[in-house]
Amino acid sequence: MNRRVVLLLVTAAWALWAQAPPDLREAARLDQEGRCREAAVIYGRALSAGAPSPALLNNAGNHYLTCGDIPKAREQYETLRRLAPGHVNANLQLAKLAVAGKQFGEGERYLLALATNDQPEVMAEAGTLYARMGDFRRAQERFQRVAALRPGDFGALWNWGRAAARAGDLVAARKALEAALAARPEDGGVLYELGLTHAASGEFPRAVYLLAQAHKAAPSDAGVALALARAAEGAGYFGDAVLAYERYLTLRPTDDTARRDRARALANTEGRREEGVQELEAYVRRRPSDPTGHFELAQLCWKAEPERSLALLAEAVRLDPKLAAAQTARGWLLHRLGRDEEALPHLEAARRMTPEAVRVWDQYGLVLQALDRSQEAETAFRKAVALGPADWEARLHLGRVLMEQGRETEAREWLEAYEKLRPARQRNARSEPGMIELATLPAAEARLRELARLTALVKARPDDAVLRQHLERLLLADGRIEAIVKLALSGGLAEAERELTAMMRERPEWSLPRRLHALVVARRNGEMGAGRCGRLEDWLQPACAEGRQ
Amino acid sequence: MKGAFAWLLLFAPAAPLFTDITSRSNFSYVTNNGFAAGRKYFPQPLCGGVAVLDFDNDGQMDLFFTNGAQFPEMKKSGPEFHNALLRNKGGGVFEDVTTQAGLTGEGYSLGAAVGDFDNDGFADLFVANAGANTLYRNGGDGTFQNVTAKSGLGTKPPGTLSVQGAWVDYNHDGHLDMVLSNYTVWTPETDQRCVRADGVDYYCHPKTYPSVPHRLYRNRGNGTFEDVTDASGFGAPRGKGMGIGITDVNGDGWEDIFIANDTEPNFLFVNQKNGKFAEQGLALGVAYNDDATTVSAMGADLRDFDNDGWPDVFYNDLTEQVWGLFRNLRGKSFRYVSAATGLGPLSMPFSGWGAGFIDFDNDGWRDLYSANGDVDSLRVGAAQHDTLFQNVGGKRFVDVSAGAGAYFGRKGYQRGAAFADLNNDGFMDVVVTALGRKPAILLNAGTGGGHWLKLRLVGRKANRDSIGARISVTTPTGRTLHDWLSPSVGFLSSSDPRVHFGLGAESKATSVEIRWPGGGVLTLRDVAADRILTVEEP
Repeated sequence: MNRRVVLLLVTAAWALWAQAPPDLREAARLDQEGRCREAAVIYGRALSAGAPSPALLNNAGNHYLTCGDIPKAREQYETLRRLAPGHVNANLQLAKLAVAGKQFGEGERYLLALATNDQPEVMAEAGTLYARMGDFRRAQERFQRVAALRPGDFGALWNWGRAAARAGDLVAARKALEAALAARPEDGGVLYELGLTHAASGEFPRAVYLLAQAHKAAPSDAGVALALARAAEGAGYFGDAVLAYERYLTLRPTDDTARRDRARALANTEGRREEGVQELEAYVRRRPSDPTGHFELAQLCWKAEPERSLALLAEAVRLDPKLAAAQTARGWLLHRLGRDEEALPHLEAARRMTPEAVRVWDQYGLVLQALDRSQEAETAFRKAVALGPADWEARLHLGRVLMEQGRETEAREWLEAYEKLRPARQRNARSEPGMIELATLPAAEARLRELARLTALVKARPDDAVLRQHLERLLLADGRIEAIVKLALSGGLAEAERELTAMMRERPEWSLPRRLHALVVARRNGEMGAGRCGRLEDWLQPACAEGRQ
Repeated sequence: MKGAFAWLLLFAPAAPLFTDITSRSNFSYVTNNGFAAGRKYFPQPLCGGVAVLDFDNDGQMDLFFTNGAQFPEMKKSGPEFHNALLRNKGGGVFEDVTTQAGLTGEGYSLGAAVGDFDNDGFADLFVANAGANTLYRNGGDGTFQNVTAKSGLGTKPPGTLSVQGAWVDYNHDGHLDMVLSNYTVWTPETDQRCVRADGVDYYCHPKTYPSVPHRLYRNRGNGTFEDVTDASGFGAPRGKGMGIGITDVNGDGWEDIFIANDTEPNFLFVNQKNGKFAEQGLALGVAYNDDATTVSAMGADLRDFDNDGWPDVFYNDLTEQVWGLFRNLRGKSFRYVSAATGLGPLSMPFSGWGAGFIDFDNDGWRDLYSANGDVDSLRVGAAQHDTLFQNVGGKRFVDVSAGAGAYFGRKGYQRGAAFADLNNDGFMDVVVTALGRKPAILLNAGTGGGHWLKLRLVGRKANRDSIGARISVTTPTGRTLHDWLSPSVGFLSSSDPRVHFGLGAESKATSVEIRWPGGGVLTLRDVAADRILTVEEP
């Protein structure tokens, strides 16, 4: 019996104390003093007197619970439920006992009796019990109701956010946790949970930002350090990820799987591929029974050594037949090698194991299409599209297979959807570390730090056009470039050209004015560039102005 | 597994021997992109166009090469930058006749396109340049006149970097029009410099420069051209153009135009038969690969690799990308079949430029040649050898480069590639340029090769070169092979204007059907193999 339950029960008993008969008042006092045996005598006498009242049954139940006689406590509560099926305390206590005994069906039955109860405390208790039962959807629903009744209540938001995250409702989770973060901006727990939620949504840069702050708040929390490493890797900040894994490994030096993951991040860091591959190979030799090690190594060697990659994947699947990622990768690679008949069973296995995985369905569709099973391919692509509302690849593939079937109008809709969703360009992964540190700084300081970093780099590499462009975008954030673009777009092409020419004279080492000059000249010639940020208009969009092109 | 091995053995190629015969000839041309130690300029990787033409109508294919210029002046400051015209004297010997022909050139030259734009029976030359493009009219006396100014083909938006031109009679008026693949707006003054941490220059990523429209010029039939870029629908999409392929993708009898774009979606301009084109790359499935991404598409060729009667689309691209092969599904759409045909692992190590389908062993299946070498010289493995992938029954490709001759062991930075039967022996030869080197003239010994048929078509109502004609050859076993006449091939290059068919073991064609652009049809019966036929439009 934990302290919280005891206190609750004692408090409940005292609440009834005033109306209770003298004997029962005495029993409650004895309970409070921990004199169970003496209290039991009084309760036994009262109960044997016949026709016990609900209050007596409730008190007696609480007494036996407090004193550790669970069967008798349960008996009193059950008797009470027969008299008053919606009795709050009886149902809650019985539900707790059931959940503690892993009898979740029973627990649910008691909680259902409280479904219409809208007292925040009761809903919160029910939410907690649902969460313990793993029913996060119901837990989320209860906590959300509590949060609605108590706006701004940190505990309610926190519980709602956590339950929603675990229920897979990432939108609600973000909403609740962002509100919780607004209430307590430096709460490490919220930063961590919110970071995990963003990572689960694939929004890794934001996840890195949040988890970096959570890590700063709790530098010895290994869970946070590991989550930060994984998010950095997901964001493509491989250099940062390597450092984060190393920090985690100082906290958990025996975690060899983190060493494996660090090797993977290292292999993806520009210029350190061989180093990473060698470490991963060493890990596989050290831990030959880890299927993930084989899988990760296969991911790194498929281009140069596809057969070795297939063998590694086969070993991964042999070690863990349920490793869906390895099955998927095997099917994917076999398809890339033109061995579609062989690829099919692996993707079918992966599909059975992960029926909600967009990429598996999409890849499965490609293999079916290659095998001229167009209708089945269409079904697979449709499944992928339904599972991944933002997945552009599946939309392209669905459009293509519909075109093959001659369903042009429908096909074009999907192809247009693909064009809308397709990112203009994949951003290059940031190889050098620094993003995690940057994320922990205030915005103004972060900007200054980035300026200093870029200035130093440009000084070291004065002719690097890409670096210069990054620096110029930061330096020109005062709006001068935007003003020139607006001038050009409003018809002042000649004037814009003059301005840019002047800027090119002022700053001959900058490339941005020259690029814009070329676009203005192209416009004067009646032309426009293509692609995102390839047209003059695009430079007014934040994505271009911030260099996200 | 055993079965697969046996299958491979069954189709194991008997590779012929390509021999580099360049040393037999005395000429000074070396592909010179103007790179001097240190500073790199953006167009320098794009140099070394090749064109095959019979400029003197002696029945032997001559060669024309484009060349670079000195930077930043962009001038052919000396003979080391001259373009070159090599007259085929026979016996594998070529004579440098550049100066007397008046083809030394100006500025930084890229692609070359051969076509008889005035239908006078002599092959003319169009040269795409970083600066103004140039049209040379063949005077029929061994000389060429620069008629750019009069023709109007020199007009384009200032600073436009043109890569390649291709001739096509898109409106079937009997006059060859010009389609022009453009890359960006670039001048030496606006050139970006990209430098590594260790101070070494590298060629900037294409995203550093804006994309631009490609262009279309209509031949008025009087020696002048009208820029119909906007009126024809060419002006809307912007790309970074490289190779151009001309063929009729949907079987409607009208030529369509494919343009490979570097880091941008590829374009397929479908002829609307009314002087306009609709860009249908996305809808027809050739804009992106199966990973739903763009690649650095370079050379392009559109031929029927699986002999199903429909032209397919091929482009090559850079190392770690997969060369794109799209099978034409009866003109309705294309399916990406790079993986299915084995091109993935074959092509990933290579950066391809010049490329094309050639049936090097005359078995009736078009094989793939690619001129390779990285954009830059900085990476390990940047210098590469060319590749020859043999087409196995229209299903798969296998790499037969290693057995194709010593040349295929030579590594460099190859660029343009054109395909021609230089000695009229019925086997396709190859001419390849390489940065900083003399070109390679690779003579195909034809070892173990099959029978063949070569057609030189002469249009009357159609354009004299018959560009756009569809030719179908049926053999006694009922096999039918198809091609669409267009010399525009690969990257910066123009191939043999004659149409070549390998017939395998069959020594004749039971029928040869020719459909000229605009409608003229002629069917020849029982044509003996192993000869070059000249066929005039009725």
